[in-house]
Amino acid sequence: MATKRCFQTLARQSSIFSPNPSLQYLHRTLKPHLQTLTLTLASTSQTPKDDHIWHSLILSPNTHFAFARSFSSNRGNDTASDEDDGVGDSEDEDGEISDGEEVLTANRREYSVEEKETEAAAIGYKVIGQLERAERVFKDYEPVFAVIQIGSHQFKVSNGDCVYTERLKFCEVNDKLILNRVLMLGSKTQTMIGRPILPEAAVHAVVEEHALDAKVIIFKKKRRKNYRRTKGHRQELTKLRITDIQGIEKPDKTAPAKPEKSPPGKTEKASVKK
Amino acid sequence: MNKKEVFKLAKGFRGRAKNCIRIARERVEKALQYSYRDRRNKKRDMRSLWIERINAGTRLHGAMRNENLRVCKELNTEGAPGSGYV
Repeated sequence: MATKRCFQTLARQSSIFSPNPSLQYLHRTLKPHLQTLTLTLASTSQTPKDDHIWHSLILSPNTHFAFARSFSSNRGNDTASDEDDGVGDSEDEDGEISDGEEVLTANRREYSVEEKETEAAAIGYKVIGQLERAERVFKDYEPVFAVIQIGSHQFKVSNGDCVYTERLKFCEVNDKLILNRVLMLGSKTQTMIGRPILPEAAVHAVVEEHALDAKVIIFKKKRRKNYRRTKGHRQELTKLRITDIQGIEKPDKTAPAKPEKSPPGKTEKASVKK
Repeated sequence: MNKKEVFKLAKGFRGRAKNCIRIARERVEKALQYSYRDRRNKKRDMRSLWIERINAGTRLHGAMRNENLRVCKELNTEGAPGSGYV
């Protein structure tokens, strides 16, 4: 992203120029970066005041990190910052891309803006909720289903189901998700069909694990031409557990089965909403 | 050892193909080629299966799959092709 280039150019310029033009240039960049950079410039160039000392001490690890990266191999950083995704950045920082969580932290260091994370999450049709610690979220089975879209795949989902999807970025284990792209809701009495999605319908899910799929061997051969290639592949998956479906009336289980079956038959109205 | 891997993949094969390396290697290579091709065929087959079922289901209600798809496209529901559903 361009933010990385701004970092490096400003870090280079700060030693040469006065802080004023760089501050004006900073106003175009994002606000959280502005605070760190202005305070670093103030600490290096001017005499540090009490406020600046306090801020610079807190943000010193970030600033040192930025300075160290600007002085080391600049060309590699520039080419990596050209790409939009964090793939190039992660290759630059760590040689290992084994853990999904390492790539996550590398992405967050580069983006480090919550807005971008939520936008990217919206593309994958999910919103990140809070992390879960000691809450009891898992309910009993309710006879309600929902048709969800995640990425380009659609699932018919009910309470307590496990769903394997493509690896979701910006998610960690034990994260609560709200899947807001709901195409259909259904229960015994009601069916709601969305055009194409249902507003005010939400499906809560929890990220159970980030896993790799079973290994698939890719084998190519051309006969009589001495050509044979073998390759292994493991797809990165995320396992979601669906906890709650909202947006539809759920049939009450608390109503005892003792009263006659005719009154419940009368009160339940079969309605099809569009 | 490649022989070990070949015999591991050759489990359940018929006759000498699971025991003798020369024959097993041929059969395993063919099996891997088929699996490469069929991973792509599976998507086609599944889609034709879904189409069969939707057609059957809509004909129960008097319509046909073509009409159902046209209607879904007009109503802009998820049933319209190109939005991810068959």
